[in-house]
Amino acid sequence: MTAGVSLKTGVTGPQAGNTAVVRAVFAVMWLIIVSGIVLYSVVGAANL
Amino acid sequence: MRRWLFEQSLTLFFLAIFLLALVGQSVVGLLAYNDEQRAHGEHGLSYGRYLVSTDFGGNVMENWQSEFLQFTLIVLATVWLVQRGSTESKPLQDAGPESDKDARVGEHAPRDAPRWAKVMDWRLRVYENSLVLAMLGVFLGSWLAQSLTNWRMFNDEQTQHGEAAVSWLTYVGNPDFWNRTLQNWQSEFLAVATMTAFAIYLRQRGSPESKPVGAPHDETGSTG
Repeated sequence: MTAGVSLKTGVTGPQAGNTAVVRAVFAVMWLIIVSGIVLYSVVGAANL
Repeated sequence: MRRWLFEQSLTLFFLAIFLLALVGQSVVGLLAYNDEQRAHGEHGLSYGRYLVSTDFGGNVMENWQSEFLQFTLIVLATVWLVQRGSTESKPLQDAGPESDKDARVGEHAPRDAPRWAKVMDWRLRVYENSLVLAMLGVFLGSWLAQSLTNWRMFNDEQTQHGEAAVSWLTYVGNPDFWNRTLQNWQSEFLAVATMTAFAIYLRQRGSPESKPVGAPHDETGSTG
């Protein structure tokens, strides 16, 4: 966990790093979902 | 680090078992696929090639779309529909969209509210529906991907049997597509109806999905 200051919330200390990592987890989930949908749409459309 | 892991443990646990199950599905899916290929005198696929095949992609997307449809519907339906005694329901008198005060938006937004909850324009309209919009988008996207992968598999089978291939539009009206779709939907809908009704009478101590063990059966919308 990285301690620091969150620009968005102005929170300082460990809580700010926590917020950043939670957002990273959120982003990873979106990445998995969107890449799965795009990948298999292309697989289907291109008949792989 | 340990504190952080504890605070995110619910998401991380489900992400981890999702990835394990997906890898497991890809391994046994490949074995089953190659067995069938060899039974028809054809060559099997490598693991990497199977990951980007219509067979694996179709199976993954079929299940994704139904899960995200389930969440889209439950988030939306629980705005207006209620179930007396269930943890899945709001208290009966709260049915319907909340007032600005209850939703804590605009002038009622606290200082640390999300920025788009404080403004009374299109940004609030988007943000106040963002959970349903996200779930709906993923549902429609994965349903589209399912239709494309299933369409190609269907046409491969048509060709193998000496029959004509069909267009994507024709395929989405075909019983094969709706059979693959509805077999997933029915199980999701049964699970939601069961969870809603079971939560009236049954309990799991310590779970927010359950009422407190001693709560009366007609207490609605409370969590343990």
